[in-house]
Amino acid sequence: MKFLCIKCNNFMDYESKEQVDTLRLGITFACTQCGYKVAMVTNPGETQLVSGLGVKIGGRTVPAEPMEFTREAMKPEGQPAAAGQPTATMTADMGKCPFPGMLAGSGFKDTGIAAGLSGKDSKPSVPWTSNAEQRLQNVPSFVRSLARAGIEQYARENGFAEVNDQVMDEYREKVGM
Amino acid sequence: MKQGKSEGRTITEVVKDLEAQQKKNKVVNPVLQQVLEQVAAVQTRMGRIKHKIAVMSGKGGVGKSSVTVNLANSFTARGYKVGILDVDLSGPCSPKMMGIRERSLKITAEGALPAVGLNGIKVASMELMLPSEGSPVMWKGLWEDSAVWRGTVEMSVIREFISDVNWGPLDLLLIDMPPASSDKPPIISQMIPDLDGAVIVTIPSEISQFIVKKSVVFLNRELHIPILGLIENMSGAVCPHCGEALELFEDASHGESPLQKMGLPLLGRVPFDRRIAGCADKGRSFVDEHPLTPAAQAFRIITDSLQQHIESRRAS
Repeated sequence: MKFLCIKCNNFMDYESKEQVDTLRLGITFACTQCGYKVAMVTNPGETQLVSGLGVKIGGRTVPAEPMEFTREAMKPEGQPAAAGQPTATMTADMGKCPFPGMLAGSGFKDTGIAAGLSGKDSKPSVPWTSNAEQRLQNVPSFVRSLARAGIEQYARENGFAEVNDQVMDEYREKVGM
Repeated sequence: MKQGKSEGRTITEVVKDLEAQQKKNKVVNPVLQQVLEQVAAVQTRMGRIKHKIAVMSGKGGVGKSSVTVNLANSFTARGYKVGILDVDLSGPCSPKMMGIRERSLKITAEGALPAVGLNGIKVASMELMLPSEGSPVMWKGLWEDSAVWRGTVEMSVIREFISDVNWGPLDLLLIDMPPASSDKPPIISQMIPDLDGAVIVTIPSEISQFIVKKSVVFLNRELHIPILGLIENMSGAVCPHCGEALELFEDASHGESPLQKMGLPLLGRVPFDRRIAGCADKGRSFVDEHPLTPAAQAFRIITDSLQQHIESRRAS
């Protein structure tokens, strides 16, 4: 993916990146001619797939260590499955999801993108009613965690104190599930 | 509003101009650059190994790992420096068969050093990265249940095993493949384009040959991996009590099999011998400990054929 500065007819260059939350990266690009900046926020799927290639977004600043990707990708025994359960523990555990490793040693710097999102996404998970949890189980397991994150974000943005049937109905209508 | 230079030009025109300029200036996308570096690392590492043979089968349980280990021991008896790359990420058993289950890959600045087992055979395997014998191989990520996600991760893991393991000088690398014909062979064929070829392991059952036939077609026709020949494992047995030859599978005729009808050479038939499994369990070399058995002789015949093939390939 590239960004084009229409004013200068120039490709914008990668400038910096930061971890918005456990699910997303914020990546800033700048025009080398006029200095205009834009920031994109990846969706979790994109980030996961890129990290699966064993590359660092924006390029490496330190050479890869032998078997670095394998060691980072291995899941310790006893760790619960992440699918469907992006818990508070997960937020705190940088080792749980592989893409924080993409940030390590690759020039991570805080550009304020996360703050620009008003901290909405770094808040603890919204409580779920048992009925809503049950409905979530109807979502295929491999996208359940993404659906959960999206629903919680929708609930927070729309002032819901919990994820209940109303949130599920509205979100379903919004995304066309 | 101030008009940009793009006025009157389409984005397509602007992008084409910019990309031409980047090409002229040899500007490379940083992600693409890393992928190119990964490819270069794979080629450099594989370039130091004289011959690479994949041991494959579309069918599970036919004895690929057992065949791999016995071939490795047979080749070392002829003076070859041999390595085993165990690509069966979720069912790795080469280290146990080589008596080195307790060892680990050693991470150094020069690469990951393989563990050294029987007869000086070097082994790289996921098993050597696991904390204990009962540990399963698991990947972490938000899409842990997604086959797409796991496939991408495993591709990168295999790529690292190929690029990051420092084998030192090797005459032959045997690649022990998992029992699937669709996802891992393309990774191997892309990353090791100078693969000498694949040996296909099957057993004399119709079901096995039915499945293996599919993988042979896929490997040969779609991936253009040369098939060096077939190994029929568990091809009959000798009764330990009366010495009578037994067929282990119904209708197992030693006539021309469907696979041979496809024009694949039969490298050899390895009769079932429970000492093969016994040695594998104990991490000992069957061909060295029982050299006079029909099975050990079969492995030597197969080794003869493969040696002839790779030596003639090197000469040409």
